[in-house]
Amino acid sequence: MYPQATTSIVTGNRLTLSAAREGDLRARLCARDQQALVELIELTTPWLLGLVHGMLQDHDESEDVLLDTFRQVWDKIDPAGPTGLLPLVFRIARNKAIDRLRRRKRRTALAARWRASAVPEELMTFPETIATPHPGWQVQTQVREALGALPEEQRAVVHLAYYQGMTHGDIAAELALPLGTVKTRLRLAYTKLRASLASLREWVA
Amino acid sequence: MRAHSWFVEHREDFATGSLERGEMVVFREHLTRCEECRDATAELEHQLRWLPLGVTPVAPPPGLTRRLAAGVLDRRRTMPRWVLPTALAASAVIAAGIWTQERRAVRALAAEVDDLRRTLVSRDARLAATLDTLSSIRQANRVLQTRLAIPGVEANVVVFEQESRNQWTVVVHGLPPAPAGQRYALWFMCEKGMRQGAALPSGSGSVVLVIAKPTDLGAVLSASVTQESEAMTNGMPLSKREIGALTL
Repeated sequence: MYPQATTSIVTGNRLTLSAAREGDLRARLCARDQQALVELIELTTPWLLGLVHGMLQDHDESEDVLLDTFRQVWDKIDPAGPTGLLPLVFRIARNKAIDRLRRRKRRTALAARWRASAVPEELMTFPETIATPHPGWQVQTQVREALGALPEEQRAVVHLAYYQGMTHGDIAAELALPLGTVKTRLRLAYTKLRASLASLREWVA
Repeated sequence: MRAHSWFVEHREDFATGSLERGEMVVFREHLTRCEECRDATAELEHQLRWLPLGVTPVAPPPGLTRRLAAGVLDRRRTMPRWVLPTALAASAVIAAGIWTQERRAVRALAAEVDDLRRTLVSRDARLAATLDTLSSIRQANRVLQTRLAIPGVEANVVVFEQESRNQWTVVVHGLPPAPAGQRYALWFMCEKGMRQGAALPSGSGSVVLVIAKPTDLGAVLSASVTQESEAMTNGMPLSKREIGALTL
């Protein structure tokens, strides 16, 4: 019998996850608290699905990535880990999705998908958030503000590189740009994003 | 560019996952040896740690949380989703192959069973003949034996006479192959003449023959084993040499 799904980590409309709560969650995971695992899954799955499915474009494969991610977290959680728990989960999931992309050479399919769509318009806008705010939505707002502050050409390459998992070479081919231009735009964009996001030290509402 | 300069230049690419697969492997391997790059990439990852939240959260399908928890806590390794259909397809192909092979095997077995059945029928017949021979031998009222005069060979003939059936059971042992154009034969010497009883087969073991005694030439007085020519004239061989005699 597995623990039942819960919303205990979200209290009322506060939708908070302070550094203290995150530390508590990590400690309980290290103590093999199965309820903590369920809470972690509930908390992060919407974001992970959005991130991973955006790269893989496949529901089943996305679920497989999530399962691999939570397994890795459960098996290798370190009580004295150097980074925050949630960024760690996001990074593991994203790396796994990228590995899958590289393995199955999905770049071609992605490029075809991008070619079939109105690339410039699609790159300039992000879908709206879900109607019910999920823990982390205020962070999302700030991230999108930071992305929105980028010049359009930089935002486009960040979108393809970071959220679609494309390599520099793929982006250069897709946007018909010199490789050096792609790298320069990405470097400038990431520098600005690092500065914009530096203040986000905790996941708080 | 110095080797380390390449890693310095690509720290951000590594931290954001933009390297090619092979480059990623090389970079990870480098991080195990280079503390400077390890710290620098860790700092880059930390600065961009919330960037994944730029995506739109997706409502999980019903039951996903439970499936994921079960998948993590259940230590049995669950298969990737593509494994089951692939395994089923492979099983179908293998089953078809096995079915075809099995059909061939069944046909081969059926043929083998037919052969065995024929062999058994043949052996049954031989066994019946042997039993019949043994019965004849057991009921014999006279036994005749002679050594055959073939240089360098130990060959002999034993005759079990069964008067009630008017037949001889002849056991020939050690008869070598006849020379080219020649054969061995047993002749009955009767009151009114002589008649060939049977050609005697050669072979390394014993050969058993059941021969009917002639009834139209008077009483059988003796028998003769001959080596004779296969060529005949007027019902008689062109040449004939006695190699054994059986006197009643």
